Amino acid sequence: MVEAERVLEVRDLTVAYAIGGEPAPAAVDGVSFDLAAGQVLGVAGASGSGKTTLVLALAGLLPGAARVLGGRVRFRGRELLELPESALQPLRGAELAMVFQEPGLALNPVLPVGEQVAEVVRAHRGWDEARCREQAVASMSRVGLHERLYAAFPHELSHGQRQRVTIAQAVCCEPVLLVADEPTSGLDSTTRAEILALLAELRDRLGLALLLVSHDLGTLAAHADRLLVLYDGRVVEAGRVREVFEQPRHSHTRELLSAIPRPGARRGHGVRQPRPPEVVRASGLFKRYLRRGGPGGTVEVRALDGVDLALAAAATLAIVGESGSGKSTLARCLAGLEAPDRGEIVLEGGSQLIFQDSATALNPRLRAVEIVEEPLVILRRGSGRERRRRALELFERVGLSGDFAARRPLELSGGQRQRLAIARALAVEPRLLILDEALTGLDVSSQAQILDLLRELQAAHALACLLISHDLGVVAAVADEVAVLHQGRIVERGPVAGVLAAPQHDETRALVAAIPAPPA
Amino acid sequence: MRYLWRRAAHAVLLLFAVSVFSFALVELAPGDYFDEMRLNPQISRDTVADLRARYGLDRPLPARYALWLRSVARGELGYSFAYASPVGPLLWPRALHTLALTGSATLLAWLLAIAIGVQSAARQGEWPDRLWGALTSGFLATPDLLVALGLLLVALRTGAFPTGGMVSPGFGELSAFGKLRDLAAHAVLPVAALVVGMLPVLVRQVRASMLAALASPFARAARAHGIPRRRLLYRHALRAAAPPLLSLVGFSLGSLLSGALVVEAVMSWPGLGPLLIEAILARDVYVVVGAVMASTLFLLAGNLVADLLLYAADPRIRREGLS
Repeated sequence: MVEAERVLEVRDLTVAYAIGGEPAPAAVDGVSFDLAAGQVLGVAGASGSGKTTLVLALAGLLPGAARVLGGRVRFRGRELLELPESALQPLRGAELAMVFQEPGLALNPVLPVGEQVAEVVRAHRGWDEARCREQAVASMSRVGLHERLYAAFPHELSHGQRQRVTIAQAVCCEPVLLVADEPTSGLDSTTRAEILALLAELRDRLGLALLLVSHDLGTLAAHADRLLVLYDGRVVEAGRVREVFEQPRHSHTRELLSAIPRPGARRGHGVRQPRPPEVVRASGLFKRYLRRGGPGGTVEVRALDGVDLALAAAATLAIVGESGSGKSTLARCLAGLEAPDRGEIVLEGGSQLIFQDSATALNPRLRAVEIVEEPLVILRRGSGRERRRRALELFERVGLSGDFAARRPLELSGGQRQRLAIARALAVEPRLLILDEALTGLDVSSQAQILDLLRELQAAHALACLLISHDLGVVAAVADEVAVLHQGRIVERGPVAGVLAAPQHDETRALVAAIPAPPA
Repeated sequence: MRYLWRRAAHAVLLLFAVSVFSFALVELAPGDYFDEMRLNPQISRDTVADLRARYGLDRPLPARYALWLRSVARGELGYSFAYASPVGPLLWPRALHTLALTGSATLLAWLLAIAIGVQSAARQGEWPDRLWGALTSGFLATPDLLVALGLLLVALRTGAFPTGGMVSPGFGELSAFGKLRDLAAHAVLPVAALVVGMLPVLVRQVRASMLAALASPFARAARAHGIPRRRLLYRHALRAAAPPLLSLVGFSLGSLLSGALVVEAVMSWPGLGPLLIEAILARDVYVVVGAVMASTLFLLAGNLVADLLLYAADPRIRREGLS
């Protein structure tokens, strides 16, 4: 067998962030690996394991506070860590390309997307305007984007299309190495599968070396040749995918493996009590939006088209559907943030909504304890001291230690932030908790922990939970019932096991098929 | 297009309200233009009463307002007692002078602010950034009037620039180019005073807006795609930083106009400022109202331009439509 060209060689790479002048423990600690053309290396790890730092270090894009303490990165015969910025700039995007998570943020909001692709071509090729444009159109069509989207702006595209644009940017100069950092986070499962298939196809067609970074072992298993598991900045597991799955050596790998949500893995609740009281009942909800589309015309979007649902205390209902199916509108209506055009919502007690991105849902300038106290302040409950005590109680209840009280949201990890959001929601003792994609973007172990927390809280307070997600796998592990939303209607509903085992509607089948399964 | 009509209707309503309001305010001030004549023993009481009747000052306020509206329709905007002429022809050249002054000051201030702000943000924390930070703080704390007087002092000592008026004596005999040069030389001081007054706030806004844009994920992505630094700064980051700045354009016009009043008076630039102050002191009511109306019109036009620029710069607003 002919040895493929070795593209990337990383040896003992060590990176640390200096916090206030003090050197902190290394974020990437002695990492080594090789990557050859046409190969896919999956890098897995929970959030905070050093994945993103590793990726940024490879491209020389580390933020100012980070320092490379040692090691080397050899890329096609060049020592990247020794190159000055002026020599790295022509490399980046031309030979070494990157795709970041959150395509909505990785694109400039005020420039047409085609321009943004052409801009990359322009940066690396001394071509005239027309030829750059031509190349950009070609690159866009290669990732499945029609030429008429050239002049579209990022906000006019779907999530999946935006990620395709960033991939078009990455491959327009036919790079040798493509580094994709969580390229599918925040995408619904159908789109996620499409994007991963596209990356695999590009790898084959362009002979790319692909470094695929994800917290989701299930995703990596299906697409990578070899796996690297990072834990606390160190490589704790490296090898072929099948070997890692069959014989994980490190306990963290086993943890990640067991945390992959699998259909049917739901833990039993024990014997059913007599029918508990209903907390919320919604009947005949209609909601439509008018959206300006095209010159002068408006398009009517039916976000909710006759939705009925009921939920009892201590029960969990999962609402799943693709993006645009009306899930979030339903959540906002039930939380009272929006009024349905028609229909009725009867709610016993209060409801609280927890959002997908708690980083933006929590005021970044307040300390964690103040965030939890705030609803109590608004409702004028108790004295300052009582509120503080109650807030700390809530911290304990959601599994945050009191040490976090003085931190600000951005100093917490994604999982910790979501706990904080839950603590804030619990402060007003709601009967219904609505989690709108609240687990999306968390790594599997954080997800599992939050799901456990929800179960505990439900048992202790008879909370009704409405889980809204595009990921059937995640919700299946915790919900009693599932309802599939498609174009504003509930197209299928029933007990989780039943729906998963025998999906009736096409939409449900697509969602079931998109649950990433580990190789058996 | 529908938007423009709505804006125009809105502007007419606002102008109407401002005129009523300024009429009422002027009315609240005691006395009128002819009060001083009454103290003059050489003018008989009857003459004064005749004058007041001729100019309609003896009529009740609503009637005077109706008269004024009629003269607005004729383009006269009432009558100036001090200049013994309709207000309109008096006002327009003055308004043009103010427009020329504030217009060039705005343009210059923004160009400078963008250049300085972008460079400061690009080298955040390095010495040029710190120097500008200190300078802008210093100037923020300095009253505009002091700046104007300081500039005058420097000009007087060095004799480098003319210190008053808009043109030199003998302006009419100069060639076209010479006229332009003379005008420009006279404009240097007032424009400089206005620019110095505005610049600190603008520099800070540009810098803050650029920092936010540079820290965003798309700027990092652009670096990862190998976009050269200059292009990243001016095409990618500045474009994304522009919308909040453009909203500021309209907002800053108000403070610029009030700053221009002072600067014009101090540097004797023949704009609306000196005219307005003189008219207020003399209770030349229609001139006061007219000057206020002209300022309002500038403000409205400036805001409209700012909104249109914003519309052009931000595709997200284009989609949702201006409201």
